[in-house]
Amino acid sequence: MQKVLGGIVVLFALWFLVVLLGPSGAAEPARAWKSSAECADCHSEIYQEWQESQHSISWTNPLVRERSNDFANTDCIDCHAPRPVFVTGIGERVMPRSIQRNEGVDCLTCHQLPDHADGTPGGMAGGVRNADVPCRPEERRELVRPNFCAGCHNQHKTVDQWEASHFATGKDKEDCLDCHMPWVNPEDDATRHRSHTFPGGDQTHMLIRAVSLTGAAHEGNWYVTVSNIGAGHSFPTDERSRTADVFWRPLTDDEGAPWNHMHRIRSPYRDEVGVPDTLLLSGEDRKLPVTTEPEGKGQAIPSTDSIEVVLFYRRTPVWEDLAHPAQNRGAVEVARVVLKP
Amino acid sequence: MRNVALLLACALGASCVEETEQSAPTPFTTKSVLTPALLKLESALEAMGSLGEPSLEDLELGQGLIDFLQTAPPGMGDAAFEDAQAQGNVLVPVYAQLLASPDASVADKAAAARLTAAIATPAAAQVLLEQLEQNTAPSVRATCAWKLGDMGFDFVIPSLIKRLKYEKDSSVTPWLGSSLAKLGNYAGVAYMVTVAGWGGPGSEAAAELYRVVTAAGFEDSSSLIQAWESGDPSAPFASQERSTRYQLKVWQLVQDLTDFQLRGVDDSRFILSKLAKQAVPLLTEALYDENSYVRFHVAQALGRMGPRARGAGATLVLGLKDNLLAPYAAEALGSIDYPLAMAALLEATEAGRDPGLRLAAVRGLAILADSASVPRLLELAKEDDFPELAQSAAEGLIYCGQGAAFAMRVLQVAQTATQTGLDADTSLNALSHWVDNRAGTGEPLALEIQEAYHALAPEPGIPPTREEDRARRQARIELLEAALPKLLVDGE
Repeated sequence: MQKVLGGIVVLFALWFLVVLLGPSGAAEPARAWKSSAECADCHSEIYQEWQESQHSISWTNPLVRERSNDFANTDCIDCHAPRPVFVTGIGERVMPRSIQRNEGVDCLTCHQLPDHADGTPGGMAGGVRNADVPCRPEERRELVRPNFCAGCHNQHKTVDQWEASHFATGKDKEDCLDCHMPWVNPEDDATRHRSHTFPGGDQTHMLIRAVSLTGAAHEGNWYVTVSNIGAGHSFPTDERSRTADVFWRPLTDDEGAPWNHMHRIRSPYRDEVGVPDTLLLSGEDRKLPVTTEPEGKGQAIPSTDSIEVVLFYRRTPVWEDLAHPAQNRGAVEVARVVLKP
Repeated sequence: MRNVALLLACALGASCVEETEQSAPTPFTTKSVLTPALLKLESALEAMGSLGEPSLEDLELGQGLIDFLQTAPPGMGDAAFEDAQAQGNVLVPVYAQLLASPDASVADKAAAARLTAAIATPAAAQVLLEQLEQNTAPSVRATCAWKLGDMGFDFVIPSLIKRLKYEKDSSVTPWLGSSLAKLGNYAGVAYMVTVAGWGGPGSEAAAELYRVVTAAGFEDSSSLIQAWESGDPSAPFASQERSTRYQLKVWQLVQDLTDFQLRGVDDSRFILSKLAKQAVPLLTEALYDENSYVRFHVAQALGRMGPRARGAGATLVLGLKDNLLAPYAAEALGSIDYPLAMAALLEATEAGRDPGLRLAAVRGLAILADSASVPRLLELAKEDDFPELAQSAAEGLIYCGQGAAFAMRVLQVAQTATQTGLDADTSLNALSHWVDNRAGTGEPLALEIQEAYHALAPEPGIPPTREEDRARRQARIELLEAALPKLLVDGE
């Protein structure tokens, strides 16, 4: 009986010490997080940003739904609803998750840490460590490294393309976050954070920043040069579906006048035998002759003619009307140049 | 005070730990499987070696046989094949060079492919496989596909299946299916049916399909496909033995599952899922591999294989105890028609199990569509603290034949999905499935709803915008809101 009482006293003393002396936050066990919607309770601004991003619609995007046959092609799930990167392994290929697929590439995908060895939740990865808030962020610098994005994005060699570019090797190094997670409120210590809208090819200003189109006469004929001036990876970087196309037409006042297709910038689907990979490498200048037929075929257009040249970007390679690119669904005019004698 | 109680409970509970551990189920233990299997098979086989450069004399002999084959009177061409066979691997590099040459004519290449096949060695088959993949002339690829079946080497099966995925020329596909059939794999028959449909009943594709179906002992292609997919043990093709080289190919495909690039992984899981049931014991062994990508993708491949993979059922059930493998094993168990799958899946839905596994198990039960799981699905459909599970359970009830009772509930999930964060499309798919089933019985109202529902599908090949997608979904919800009550009354 004495031993039992003694044990109770010891246990009580331990409890007292824990309650009295322990840090208030650490006394609570870390929570298990099931859904990224829970993050909005504290991080409403960032959650709102993420909701505007392509990551948030990686499962629901109608383009993806159409391409994957409503995910009946389950191969697509791996990247469109991945398990947390910290769980699968940084730089490792991602694996599909079973729950909350509707949230796509969500908060948990990037921030959730693996459970501890004893099975308790591992908390979240963040920019700072804070044991007093419910998600218990640990400071994990891996979050800001390009390799963190590689599990999905290097499936299309984007990280490799960056590593080979002057963005990775030059003295003014810029990485994924510099362009795709720019600072919000950089001057304000209280609200400064990385944007979670992940601007990319879905935003026209990013496309305009990535490429330029210039033209010049050479030996009596017109040439245009498409240059990848601003992307730290190929333009477009994604394979297969993304495409950029160059068109020209005689300069007229008629905005509806038909265009002539000149050149396609795209990496083909894997079953497209004989279709060349023409992605524009980071820093590449590609000089193209303006001719009556696509890809430099047909008659050269003399520099005595006034013409205009335009570059369009689309997230699908199928043009319904090549002669009127602006009328094709989702086509974005990225650059235009007028060439006069 | 609550903390004191917890500490006391912990102290008292410590004495129970030993008992709990004793009664815990045996863990699923992973080990190195892939590497030893590859080493064992590689050491059992002689490497094919490199072909080397052909001599001038060999080149002349090889070209002479091509010329003879193309000019010989009817019935005399066999002499060329006999001579080629007698020369053995000596002529393989000659024809490999000619088949790869951009200067050789298509006719010469097709003849070279036939003569290569006559050599009938694994090295010769390897040359034809390379040409099947790379040659730009459909007639040469068709010849390679055709002759690979005649050569009888089963290790070419994976490459023929891969070509099924990529071949775009309808003159090649029937020969892929036909050769696979000669080698005891009927994965190409469905492709042959499609191509025969394009060419019509008098086409070469239709004739070859007829030959394949009758040679397998079936009256029509549908019965053959059904027997193949069901893994029917009484089917004549069920017990063909596979060579060591074939087994090595299977393990090499398993190894490809560990690649970083999904391109190769996608090909590998496609091929594995279309192999005959002789591959199942190897894949079952691979489920224990220490590499998590191997375990996960092999489970996927077995699930996609369907009832042919029934033999992996017991291991997949054990795999429900492996944290990584469990959800993929659960979905695979839904597809392979394993008798004990349902009991295992029901157990996996229990509270306290990993949420991902519970959800996957419910999806597995929905695929099984067995009415015996209805009572458990009814319980799970009420789990308000796990809405995604409740949604899947309600959808599962529809797949289990409970549409009349649960259609409105599932419709409500779709209606409120924007607010709840659930996926409206899975609910709409379940409802569409139910309407299709009702329409399948010829019910006029169901047929009417079915037609109106499918008319709201996006135009094929033109991805809708997000606004169009929302509008399309809303239109479908409104259609079902108006029509389902009438259909339910009709059903009663």
